[in-house]
Amino acid sequence: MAPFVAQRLGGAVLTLLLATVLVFSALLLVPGDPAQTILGLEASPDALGALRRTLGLDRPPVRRYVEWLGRVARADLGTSIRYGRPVGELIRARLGVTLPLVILSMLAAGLIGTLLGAIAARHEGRPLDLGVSGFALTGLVLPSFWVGLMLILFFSAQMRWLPSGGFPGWGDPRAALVHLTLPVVTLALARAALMTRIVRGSLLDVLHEDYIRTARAKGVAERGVVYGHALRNAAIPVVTVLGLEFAQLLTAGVVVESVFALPGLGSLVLTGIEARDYTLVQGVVLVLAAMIVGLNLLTDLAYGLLDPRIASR
Amino acid sequence: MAGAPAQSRRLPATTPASARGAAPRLPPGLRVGGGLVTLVVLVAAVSLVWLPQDPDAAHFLERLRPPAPAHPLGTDHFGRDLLARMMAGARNALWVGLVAVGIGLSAGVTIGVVAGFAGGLFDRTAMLLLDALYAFPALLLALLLATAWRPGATSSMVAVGIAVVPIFARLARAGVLTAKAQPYVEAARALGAPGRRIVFRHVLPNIMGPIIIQATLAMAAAVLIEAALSYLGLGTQPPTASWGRMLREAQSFMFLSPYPALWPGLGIAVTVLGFNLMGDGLRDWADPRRRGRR
Repeated sequence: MAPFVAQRLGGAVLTLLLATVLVFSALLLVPGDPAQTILGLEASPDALGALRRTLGLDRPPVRRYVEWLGRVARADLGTSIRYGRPVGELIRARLGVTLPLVILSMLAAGLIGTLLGAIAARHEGRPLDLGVSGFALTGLVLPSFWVGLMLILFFSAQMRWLPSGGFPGWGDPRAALVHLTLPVVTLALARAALMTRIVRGSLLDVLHEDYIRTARAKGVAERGVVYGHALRNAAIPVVTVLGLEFAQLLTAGVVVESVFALPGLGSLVLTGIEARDYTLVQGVVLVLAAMIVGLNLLTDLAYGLLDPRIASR
Repeated sequence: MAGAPAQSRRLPATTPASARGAAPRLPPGLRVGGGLVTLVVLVAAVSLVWLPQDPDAAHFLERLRPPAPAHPLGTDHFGRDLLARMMAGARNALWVGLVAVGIGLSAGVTIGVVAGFAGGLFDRTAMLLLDALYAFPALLLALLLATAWRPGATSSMVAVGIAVVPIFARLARAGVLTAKAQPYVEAARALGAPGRRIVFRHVLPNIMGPIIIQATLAMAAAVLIEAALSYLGLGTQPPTASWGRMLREAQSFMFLSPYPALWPGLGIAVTVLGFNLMGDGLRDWADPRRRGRR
């Protein structure tokens, strides 16, 4: 197990290092003088000089990268040009929206996917299976931002059941959850669709195993066979995929936040792009990348624990 | 007796169609997917030579009209014809997807082939870096490029292209490693064929199948990501019609008219579904072990 953990840790560190190189290189790709691009053509030479020093443009790129990496390692992501506040502080404030959105969506996707996948597998080849499989395919191809708009149109404009956007903060948890309902459904739909397909496939494989035949021979009801015996063993690939889906949820969350005007990391990074606030964009992208790498690592390790054959390879 | 020879020529009904001389039946997914993709390609091709109206011409007296003979899909908040914009949007979606997949495919296959042939340190380093890149989502790359270059179709195409490089590189490398051990490559080598000739004449044609299948699936992803980026204002910029951008603009007016928000979503869904079904169908069709499995 130790070499397996070391190997996965090494891979995660390398991925994170590459992420820092990519994030840092973005500033090098800016055509011309980034300070001029940010402040505009009418900026005074003094202001330009000050910003160049702040961005470190007066030093060679490799030195700048090493210095920047050192600061990042101390959790210092710099100061936002647009807001004039530390990027880390801005990100922490927005995580209060993004993380609940992503975590609730992941739970919803896992629950809906497992339930529908199990129903489809139990009724393999019958109309219910075809209906569920049709839902899964539809959920996968519909763009999440369009689904969000259609949900707003129906549940907010037509039925007036749920708010169409915005976030009141966690001061009133009930209102906060009501505001997160449509975004969570939107974000969870595509992931639930994928999960349904995986659970169905995984269950169908398990349902042909000998111990399932034994359970049936012993007279266990079909419901008990599926939910009591098969589902537990079909869960291993599902847990793995849930972990990997986190990356998809985080990036799709950027788009869904924009649909529902949620003040999360997505809207923060879009404000950064609009204001050409490189420090802010770099900070947010790096934090998102680090979260993805961290969760991928945890998933890998969990998979190794759940299935010892993986770790011994 | 006269009927006997005719009877003996007829093969049993259980004989596979291919053995009876007929082409094997295409999987339903491939037929449906191929049909949808053909439809989108046809719409895009027609839009190059004919559009019902100028997709960018505003008619303020005809704003947010529902479908009617003059505007079969209705009009948007500027009174622009939605059918014309949908057709121009199809062209944009396919173009952006093709360029993005083209970037990923050419860079990925080149890296994969070189790594597969070179082996050693170059192979290990390239694969390690590509694995790391694979963990970096396309949207994050697009955010970085949009900041550096200003938002636009170019930055989104390059971002999606870079994001799919690792998939093509892995496929090409695996294909090269398999092909390297084949007798026909060994024979070409023994006959003194130079490396470049071996790659282009013997290896690439044999690994193109899985790469084309992957390219079809990557097209679906590229269309979806580009639409998302355009929706965020980071992809195709106005006045060029793009489905993602159309959705963005429709959002503020969808309580007055749902049509401007309805059609672009359906356009994206049909295109993504088409390429996904086609890719899956091609994979099933090319792999005899998967044929008949649903």
